[in-house]
Amino acid sequence: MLHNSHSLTRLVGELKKLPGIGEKSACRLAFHLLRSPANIIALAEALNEVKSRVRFCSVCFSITEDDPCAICRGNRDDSIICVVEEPQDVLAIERSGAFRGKYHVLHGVLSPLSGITPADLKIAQLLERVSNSSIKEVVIATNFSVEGEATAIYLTGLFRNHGVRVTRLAHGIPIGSDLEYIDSATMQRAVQGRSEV
Amino acid sequence: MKSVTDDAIVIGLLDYRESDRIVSLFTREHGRINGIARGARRSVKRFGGVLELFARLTVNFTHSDSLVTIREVDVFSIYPGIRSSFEGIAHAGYACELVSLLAPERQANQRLFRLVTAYLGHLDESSATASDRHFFEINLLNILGYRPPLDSCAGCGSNLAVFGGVWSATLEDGIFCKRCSGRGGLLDGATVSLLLESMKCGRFGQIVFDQNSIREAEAFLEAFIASNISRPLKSLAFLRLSP
Ligand SMILES: [Zn+2]
Ligand SMILES: [Zn+2]
Repeated sequence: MLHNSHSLTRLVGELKKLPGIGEKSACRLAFHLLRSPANIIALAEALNEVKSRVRFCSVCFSITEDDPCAICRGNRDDSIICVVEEPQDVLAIERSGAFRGKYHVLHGVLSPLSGITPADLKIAQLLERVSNSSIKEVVIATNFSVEGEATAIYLTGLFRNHGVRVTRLAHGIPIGSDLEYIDSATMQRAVQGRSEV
Repeated sequence: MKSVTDDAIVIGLLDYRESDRIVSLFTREHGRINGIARGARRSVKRFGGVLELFARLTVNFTHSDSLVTIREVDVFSIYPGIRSSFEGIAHAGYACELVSLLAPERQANQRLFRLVTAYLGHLDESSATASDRHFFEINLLNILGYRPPLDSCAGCGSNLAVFGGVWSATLEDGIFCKRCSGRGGLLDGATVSLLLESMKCGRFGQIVFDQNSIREAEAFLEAFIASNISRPLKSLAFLRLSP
């Protein structure tokens, strides 16, 4: 169908690489863009700008345009640092407004079946940050997957002799839910992680 | 389309497209199968936090040529004991990778299913040990038809459990006694005995390897397994991180 336009074929090819976009959707998007040249230019400019301006913060490894990032430079609690898997996790916690400390992005998790070890993550940088600062508490906010748990256990061991408090985000039953509808995996974790009231 | 229900262990997970997940399962009645769980990443309601590595499930799926479609799952256990220990996760991950690489696709093997569930159950309740790991490895190899030739010397037929053995890196020619072959990895008679006994014993925790046997069995089994799989084991790097 696109054999007579090399550039259109190329655009469809690039769009198809995006998550959740198949051949059909890619064609639909490409033809939509073709119909509005102004949109094409705006999209191209936005992509270029992201490419040239967005980078990783050299302190916390979150995404930023200015290095260090606004959170690292800002007036936040220096004594507490929250460790997350990916930059989007920083956004999720920031949206809640519940955390006033700083962050550290690992860029992944330890994974037995993918062979991802500490050397593949920003763990050495985290250790250095904690050793050379006034950090008193490390909050581990990796996901509650097997990999996230393995990473949390590993970090806990790593900081055992560093004189810092290590905490883990609480997990369990979602706010506003009925016990009878909770899946048994969540229930098992909630029971295991029960706390004194 | 007809759907079937089976007991299963999650032995691998892969995010697929925007919201799906490819799940590798080892099932009691259908052997190792790969399935797609549509919407598993988006909808917590449908599959809960249940499609997790090592989780033991009852799974309902519909057959197709390549990927089965997972319709419903019910969790039997997520093995919270394994998940709360780094060594537990490392050993369970290693066990799952071995099953992924060695168990043939869509071939029921109830003995292997019992071995894997027994190992996960044991890891969930007690701390991971090298003895249990080697017990699992040798039994897995035996059940899948990869039994190492540990009984007698490939040269003179002498009893390796008495005289000990020597294996070479290729492992192709079998295992020799010390008189028939001078070079290679050593297997003390005691180590050979422990490995042979492991294949006769039905329970985890009964057979305890001593320090020397652990060292010898580890080197031998790693080489033997490596010679039977198509790519290096990724979980070994993780296993070596365990203190
Ligand atoms: Zn920063
Ligand atoms: Zn011999």
